[in-house]
Amino acid sequence: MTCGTGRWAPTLALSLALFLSGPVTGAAPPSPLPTPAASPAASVPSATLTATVRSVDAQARTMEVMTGVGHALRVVKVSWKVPPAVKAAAAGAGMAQLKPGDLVRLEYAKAPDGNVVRTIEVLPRPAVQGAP
Amino acid sequence: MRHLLPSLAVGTLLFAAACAKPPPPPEPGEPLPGLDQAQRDQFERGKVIFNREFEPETGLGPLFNAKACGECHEDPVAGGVGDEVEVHATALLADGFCDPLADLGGFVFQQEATPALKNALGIDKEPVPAKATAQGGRSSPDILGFGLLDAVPESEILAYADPDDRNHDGISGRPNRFFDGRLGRFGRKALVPTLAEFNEGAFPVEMGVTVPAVPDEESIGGQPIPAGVDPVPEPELDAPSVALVNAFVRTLAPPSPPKLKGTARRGPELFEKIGCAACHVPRLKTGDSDVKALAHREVAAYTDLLLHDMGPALADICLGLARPSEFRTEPLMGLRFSEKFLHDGRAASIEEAIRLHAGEAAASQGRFAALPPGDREALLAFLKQL
Repeated sequence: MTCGTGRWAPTLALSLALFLSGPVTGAAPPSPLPTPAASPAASVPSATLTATVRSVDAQARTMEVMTGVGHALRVVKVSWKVPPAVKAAAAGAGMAQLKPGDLVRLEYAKAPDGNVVRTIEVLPRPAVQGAP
Repeated sequence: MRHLLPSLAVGTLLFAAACAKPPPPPEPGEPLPGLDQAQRDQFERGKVIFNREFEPETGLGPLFNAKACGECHEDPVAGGVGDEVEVHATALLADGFCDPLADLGGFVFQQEATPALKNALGIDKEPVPAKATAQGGRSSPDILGFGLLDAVPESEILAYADPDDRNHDGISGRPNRFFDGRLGRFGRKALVPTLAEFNEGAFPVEMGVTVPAVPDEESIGGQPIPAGVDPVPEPELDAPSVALVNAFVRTLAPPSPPKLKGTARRGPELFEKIGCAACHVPRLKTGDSDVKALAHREVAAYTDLLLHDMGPALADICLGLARPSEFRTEPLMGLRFSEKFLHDGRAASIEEAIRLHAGEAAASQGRFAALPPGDREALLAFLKQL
């Protein structure tokens, strides 16, 4: 017997892995496309979406945001009749402060005549960790 | 004693297995070692769909770049490289925002059209809109081992980021982010966070085949599809089929480690010495994964999955946070399969590709050029075996 006991470890690990491993398709990625949100008080379905602001037209009361899946990118257009609540880290933030490139989380109603935004939260850009 | 016999038998079998020669590494196109039977079945069934040629009657188009995943990722096996070069275009606006022109059919502009679309609109490809400020070609890389790249934790990638070059080594990698803020890693500009999303987006973008995650067709330069041109109801491919393709791509084994002979054995040391490894990080470690064969493995990726400035001569489109001259460090695993190099295939050899490195890579390129001819040959011999 010249075989060392240290060589058991990979075999046992492989045996356990073969026994325990689950189906490859088990994990579903988070969907970046709009997700339905419960809206018991409203008759129209609502959705939430985290996306990047593409344009804001305060006069037309519309905003476009970028979203998509992989390289299949889509523009989602939302509008408002009364300015929606804007939550942001910066005090006094409002629709006038929103600009292309901002990362936002929207809650909006999917009405027959278009998406009507209810709330906008301006999210901080994730910090870049790195080497000192 | 009777109870000991089965244990003894199992022990003997395991001991014999441990003493046996290790199995050879997978051949190109084979699955990762360590998958169970169900996972291998999914791999094989996914491969069939990966290679399936779509036709207009089964969902192809009306705009497309290829009829099958395996048409562009084909050489030497399904999941390998391809000779197709597609067209990407975006607009860098005056305020600094990068518009991917999604409302005008971008940022991938398909190079083929179905006969029905040609008849309806008289076009044989999607036009690049005048609003685009830049366009670039994109070659088809091999995707062998990309499931391992998918399993690398964000913390591992971000540990290599140094956007302000605080360590003064001239290398300042930074991450790209998808439009919802998540870290990107797939695609030449590192826009896409996960392999599954890259695959799911590729069906509509590359083949015009809608899937449940993207149930609407690509527009034609921003215009809707003419009536009657695309009669197949959406989605044109169902969720189980998409999941099988994801399983296939995710569990494709990486290229086997090179068996370095002769001068090539000095290659890894030279690769480090002249600074290539600062961006083309030789090894990344995966983290947790629901697939045991992907969890806590080392992958000889030769990338940091970050964006780096490659200089003005290579610059083309912006995308997400990536500026025109920034590209994700190309994984060098599988380099042995390529015949054309760089993101758009403009380099006919590895040596030419190195010579075209500029920006953050200029110093390394200079050191490569200054190597004695024997060292240059050793480094190239090594790279050709990755």
